[in-house]
Amino acid sequence: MLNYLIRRTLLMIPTLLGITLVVFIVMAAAPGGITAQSLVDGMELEPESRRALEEYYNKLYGLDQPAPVQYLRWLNNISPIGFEREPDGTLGTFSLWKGADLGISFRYGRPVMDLLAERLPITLLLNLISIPLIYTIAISIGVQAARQRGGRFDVASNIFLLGLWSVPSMLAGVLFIGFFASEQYWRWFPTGGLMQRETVDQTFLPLFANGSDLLIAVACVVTVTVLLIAAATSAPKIARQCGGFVIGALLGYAMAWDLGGQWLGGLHVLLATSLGLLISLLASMQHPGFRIALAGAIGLGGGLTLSRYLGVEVMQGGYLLDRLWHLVLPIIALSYGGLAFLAKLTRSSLLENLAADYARTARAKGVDEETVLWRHVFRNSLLPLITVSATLLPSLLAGSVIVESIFSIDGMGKLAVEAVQTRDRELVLSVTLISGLLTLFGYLLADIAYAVVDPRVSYD
Amino acid sequence: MKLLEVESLITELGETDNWLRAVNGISLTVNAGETYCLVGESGSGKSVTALSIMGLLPADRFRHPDGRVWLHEPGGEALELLSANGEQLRSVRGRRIGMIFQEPMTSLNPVLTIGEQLDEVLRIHQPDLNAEARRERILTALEEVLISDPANRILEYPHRLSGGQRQRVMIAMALICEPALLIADEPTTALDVTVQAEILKLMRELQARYGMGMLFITHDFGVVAQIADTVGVMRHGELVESGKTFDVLSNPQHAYTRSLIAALPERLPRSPRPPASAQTLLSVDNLSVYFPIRQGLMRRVVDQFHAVDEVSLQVNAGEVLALVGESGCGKTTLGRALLRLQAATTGSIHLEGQDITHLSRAEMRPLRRRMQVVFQDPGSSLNPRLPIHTSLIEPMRVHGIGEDDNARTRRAVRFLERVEMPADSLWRYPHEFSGGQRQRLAIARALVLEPRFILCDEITSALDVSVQAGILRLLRELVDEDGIGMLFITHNMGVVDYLADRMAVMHKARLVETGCTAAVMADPQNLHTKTLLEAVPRLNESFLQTRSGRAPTEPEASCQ
Amino acid sequence: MTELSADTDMKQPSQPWTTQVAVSLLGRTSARIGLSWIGLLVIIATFSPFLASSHPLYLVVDGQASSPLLQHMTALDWVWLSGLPMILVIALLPIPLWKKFLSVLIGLALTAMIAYTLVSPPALVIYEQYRELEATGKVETIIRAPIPYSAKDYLRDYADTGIESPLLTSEQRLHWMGTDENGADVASRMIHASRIALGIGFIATGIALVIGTIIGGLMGYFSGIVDIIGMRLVEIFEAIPTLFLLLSFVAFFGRSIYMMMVIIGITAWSGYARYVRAEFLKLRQQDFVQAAVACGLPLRSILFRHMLPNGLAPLLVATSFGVASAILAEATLSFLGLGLIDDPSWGQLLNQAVQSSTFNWWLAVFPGGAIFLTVFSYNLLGESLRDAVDPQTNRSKRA
Repeated sequence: MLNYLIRRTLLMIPTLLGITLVVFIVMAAAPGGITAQSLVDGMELEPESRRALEEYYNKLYGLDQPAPVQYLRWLNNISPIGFEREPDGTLGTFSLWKGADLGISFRYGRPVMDLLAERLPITLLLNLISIPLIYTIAISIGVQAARQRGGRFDVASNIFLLGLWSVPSMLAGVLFIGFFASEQYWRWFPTGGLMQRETVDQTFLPLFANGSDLLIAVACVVTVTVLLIAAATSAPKIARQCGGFVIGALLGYAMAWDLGGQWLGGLHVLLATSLGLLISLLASMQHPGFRIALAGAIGLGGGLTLSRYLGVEVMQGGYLLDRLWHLVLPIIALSYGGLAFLAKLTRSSLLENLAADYARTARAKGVDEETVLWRHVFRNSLLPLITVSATLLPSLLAGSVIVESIFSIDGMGKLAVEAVQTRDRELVLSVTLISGLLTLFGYLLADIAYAVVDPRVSYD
Repeated sequence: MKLLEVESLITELGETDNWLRAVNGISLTVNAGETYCLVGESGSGKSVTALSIMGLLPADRFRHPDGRVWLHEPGGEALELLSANGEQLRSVRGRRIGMIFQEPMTSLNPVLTIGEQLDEVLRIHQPDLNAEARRERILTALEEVLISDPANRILEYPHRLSGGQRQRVMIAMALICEPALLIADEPTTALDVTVQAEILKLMRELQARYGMGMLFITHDFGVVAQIADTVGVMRHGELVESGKTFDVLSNPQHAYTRSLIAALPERLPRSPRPPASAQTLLSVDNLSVYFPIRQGLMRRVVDQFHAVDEVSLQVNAGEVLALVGESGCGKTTLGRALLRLQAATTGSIHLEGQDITHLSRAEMRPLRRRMQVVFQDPGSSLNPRLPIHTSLIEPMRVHGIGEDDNARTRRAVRFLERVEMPADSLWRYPHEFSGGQRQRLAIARALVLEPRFILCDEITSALDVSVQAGILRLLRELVDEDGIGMLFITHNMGVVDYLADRMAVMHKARLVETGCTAAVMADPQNLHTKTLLEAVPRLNESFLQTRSGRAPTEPEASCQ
Repeated sequence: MTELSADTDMKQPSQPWTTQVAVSLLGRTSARIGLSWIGLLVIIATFSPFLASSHPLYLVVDGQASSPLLQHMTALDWVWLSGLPMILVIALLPIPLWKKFLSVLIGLALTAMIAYTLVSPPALVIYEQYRELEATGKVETIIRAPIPYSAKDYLRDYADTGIESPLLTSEQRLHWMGTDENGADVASRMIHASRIALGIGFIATGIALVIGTIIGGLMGYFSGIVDIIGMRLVEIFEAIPTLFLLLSFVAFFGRSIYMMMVIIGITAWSGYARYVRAEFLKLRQQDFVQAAVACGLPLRSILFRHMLPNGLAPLLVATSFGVASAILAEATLSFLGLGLIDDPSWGQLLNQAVQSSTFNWWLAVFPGGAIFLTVFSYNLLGESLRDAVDPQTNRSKRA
């Protein structure tokens, strides 16, 4: 196994080189190429200042040298072993402890390493929260659909998931921002960024006016949630549907009233009925797990609203809540596509394995269906999911680009777009390198996970 | 004592508006301590019967318009299985009825260890045993099925075991709760003949020890002769004949049964054969094929895997040489090497005197006319996207046979007639034909180039015995009338007996014995040959009827 | 069934595999839905100059009849117009599939050459002239397109050009889908943008398919050193964040529609190469391929007649999904502001939805909806193809 890991890691290097080479070629082959002229073109300067600026850039970044030399210099800079660079730009002595130097960004004028250190964690935060979310929800939906093959849930969820997968993420993001985060419609969520500036100084958890307020808030939330969960699990189907419809209708009406301020209008009826139908449909689902989750979510929201009406005041939102509040929409926009795909994959993989020979042997031994599903089939069905997860990380990174642009989140995706737009050579190459590294790393992790889950696979 | 009673069972498969009747009114009885064999060709409904009894057909895809299946308990009550609810069925499965399946490769869960899978049965049906007791029971069960070193085996995953070992584990799993009835659905079909002999012996011993009843499904009459007390012959979902084994096999009443037995290769009528010529078509000298084994960080070659090890043989015109051996002995690799589809490592191959071992692709091309091949799998022997016409005409075109396509089409029709296929097959696609028909078309394709030598690689192994009979007869005709030399790779001794003039036995990449078929079969010299021949379940002489007017022990006429 | 002699029990008359797949496909509901939307798009794209144009189809002024619409049709419009009937006719001819493709390509190329040499619409286009003429009352008869605005007609004759929401009150200025930030009619822009969506979808995927098939086929058949190099190439192009590469290409090479087609194609080929390689590796072991080698058939025949047609199945499915992702890629680029500048594109309209301080929902819903429906249709088609192509797969395998 160790041999395999070493081999894979070594094989990553030529691939990474290849990636950066391709991107570099694109940059160099473009009209204008990577020269100082392209940097100063946009500015309005007198000829002497322009020339002086060009010379400065040339010196600093070595832009006057031919493209292959530039690439080699860049390679030299990023490798931990190589020639050191003197401050004036010439090459110094060979050293084994040079350390990687990603260069200085043209646009920002700051070292690329610093920029990445600031932005990368944010992108990683978005993606790393998305991944477990995607997997848990996708597997639950997939399992449920496979259990009731051909049933209503299965057929409906199949079409729904395909549709969900087809919605372009930019459309989703735009609609989210437009409807749920703007001044004109519902102002439930912030318009962008990851946090409000004030919260940096605030406490981590919300701060209430006094202790009793906190108690009231908690009590409200708990009561409402428990009641709803109890109703969701034990009430008969008709009661659940009616109750769900009422809750949905009220919610819809509140949303419409929030918009227009009138008492009744076309929008009110529309929203009330559609939300009512939606929630009543969800409430009539067979599997109790989904209903509990739904009841929990509504209970949380309802409890908080109730506590607000009872006069509970929150002094400070607190760092945690603020971050969460800002993260909701971007994460939904980022993960729904992967979720849809994985759910369908889970379903098909489970169905294939439920009909397999070893499942039949298990049934012949007297094992009941639930145990066949979870003990025998589930682990075998995970295998294609793991293979796919290798491609999940790169697609999430790509999705981050769009999501970060829409929601004005200063992450690596946004950085990449800016870098490309401003032809910032160092930044583009470094961002490409990092994304390539993350992607290859993701592939390697997926292969290792595969070896862990499937005992037939051994890397020797 | 009656154990299992099936009454007019009817099973339909499919779904709403689209039902296919797979089993049409079957009745049978299995008694304790006895074996009932259900025989039939593919599609006869025997597996569906077994799965119906256990209730293991795919959910929502089956229904029983009529029929009853009674499982008799020792206390005298009987449980009707078709109407039992889930819980009742689950308590019966594994505890009262055990079942083993055909494919040992895929029937065990690959991600659980053997021990865990065996443990599961005990936990369900004998929950009062603690972990220690269960482990004891598991080890005992594995020892009973003759698995060596059970204490370590239970920690292993299925993929580390051979096919025979996996089937033993399946048997252990089925029998660990000492059920009264064992249902076996073609358990040895996918195994080598020597392994099959061992498994059958094991099953008979276990049956005797526990007094179990056994419902054994198979298509092989030799197996029936060996283990069955009662036999039932199925065709198109119906039981056409049943009774005591001796009666049915020695004096079959129904025409279908008679035709099945008559189609067994060793019973096929044989016409006198012309003497084989002395002309050597293909000669192989010390041929070896080694594959490199790579390991380590740099994938260095550490060793060689010997697929074929210094094999020498000869095929003359007008004779059939059978190449037999267990799976993995190298016979397929040898065949491919002969055709230059696989590179030989050392040794030489001579075709009609010419050394073809190292010829280049261009040099080989004209020679390819003279040697052709027919493969095993009828599903992939013909290009699914091309009509038969193109598949037959193209080789002719490449080798310049015939002046134009019309002439070639006429030739193709002649060859189709030779393999007893209608002329309008030309305009159809492979998927429209059955397995046996496709093999005939593949033979036609091999014949259009009028080769001198044909390699047949297990071409009838995937076919029903009646279909196989027709093909074998056709092959014999081709060899006798056209003087073609044939190398026939097989593992079926009956086929060897009928078809081959000479036979060669391979074992672990080496050729261990060659000689005249009759001579080798009557008196094998080599130990491996002996084991192989003894392991083959045959309808032995006490069952035979001399329908063809010939006693089977009469040796073949021609043999050099 | 017993077969003591070769019985001639045949099933229905034979159909080549492609016909079988097509028939099976057309029988599925989801495929029908997908194909109807795509068909609708094709019709809209082909007839877009007739559907949305400021130029009237028939104009009579001072007794003089003319058809400004026909006069202003560009060469590209004519190629589209003649392309559709040509493709339909060729599709129905009883010649093998690959010949059909070839003839379509040749036909389109010929038409393009003829059109570009013969057709030359007037360079200067003044959209407002017709409205001015109407205002002065000189017009006797006028027949306009259903949406009387061109894609680039920024309505400069009206003083107030800016973003308007749909269905304005005034009859003269009926905008079904509102106007964009420059004042152009959104419906018209969307209709003309369908050409770009379809064109990029097909051509980019076509490029990726050709590159992928060639490289994948070579890798699959020849193994060895070819395989090793090929796999490294595939890995590189897979690991490059596609969006980055697209962004870099576009940012550095400028924006032209042909450039975008090529670029999207170049970034997508690795998926197809993997499929073709996997299929070829499997096919090499198949008996009929071995038999073809044993017959001494030439390499060309083995590759193109025996292996490739049998490896098409997963490729077809992947192509359908691939067209969807190509359209998405173009929309994404336009959305990020890196798409075509003047030519209309759905993504670009979507971009405008969030640019200003207010949220202009019609710029998000309509173009976004069009993108969604198109991608959804291709995905539906891909799913149905997956089922139609492999009839042995039992239903449980359907995702």
